[in-house]
Amino acid sequence: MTELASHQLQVANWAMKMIPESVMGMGDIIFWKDGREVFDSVNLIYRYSNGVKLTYESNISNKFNGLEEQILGHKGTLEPEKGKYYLEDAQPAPGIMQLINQIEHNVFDRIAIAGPSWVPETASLNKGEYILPQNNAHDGSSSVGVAGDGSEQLVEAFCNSVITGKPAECLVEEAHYSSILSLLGIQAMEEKTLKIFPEEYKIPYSKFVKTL
Amino acid sequence: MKEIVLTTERQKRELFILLGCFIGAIGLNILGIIMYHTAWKELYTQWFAVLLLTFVIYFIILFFRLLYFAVRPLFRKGRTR
Repeated sequence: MTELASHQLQVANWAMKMIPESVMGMGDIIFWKDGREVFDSVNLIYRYSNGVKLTYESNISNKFNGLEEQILGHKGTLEPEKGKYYLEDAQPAPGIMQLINQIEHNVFDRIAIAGPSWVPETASLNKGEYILPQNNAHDGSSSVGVAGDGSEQLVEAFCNSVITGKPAECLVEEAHYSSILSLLGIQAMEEKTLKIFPEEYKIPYSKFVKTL
Repeated sequence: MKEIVLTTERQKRELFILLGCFIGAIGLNILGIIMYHTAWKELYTQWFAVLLLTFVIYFIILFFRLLYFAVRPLFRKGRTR
């Protein structure tokens, strides 16, 4: 939780401009049964005061979904790691393409021998659009169209703080909330209870005006 | 090797067939717009699809024409016997 989830929590809080008011979840050791005490399978739900939920899931033994975030809204979905967005009301394909597609299906599709009583609602086949127009990193280090992994910018910001004596904006506050929320998540899993964010751990933070 | 001669008449015929395929592709584009209620601007925004479809139709027709030309002599021989 503190190693991985803290980053997602920071991003979510930054995007929401507030912190969650409560968390509940479950954690288990289902893969590494060698005596260790840290959960290797966790599922948590952080709830913000406006009803938005951050669902965090982490399985150490499965990498199918990778390490990524999905922001699901009523207008669309954002996948920051892929650098893509998917609109709920996506533009339909051009008429001629749909027509060719239909002809192709009529010619090549297999014929069902029995009708299903229900049709599963599978995931959207919307291929989405790139957030940034340039999306090809030259060295493969990034999928969102930037060269490098951001390390240079981090070192640059650190050096800037050291030289000027000014801390990076909101960094300590964001680290504080990410840490508290990670630990609160662990507590919720261990105690199997809903945990409310403690008032005494709230600190002044200009971005989180809604909860302070 | 045998020389392949494309007469002016043959060239004109092929171009005429290609024109027919192009008109057919435009027709399919219009049909697609009407059937799927998409924007009429697709008449010019989908020019590449129409062009591609033109050649696809042309080559499909060419396949059947070649098949016809290959099979036709067999029937002619059969008729003379």
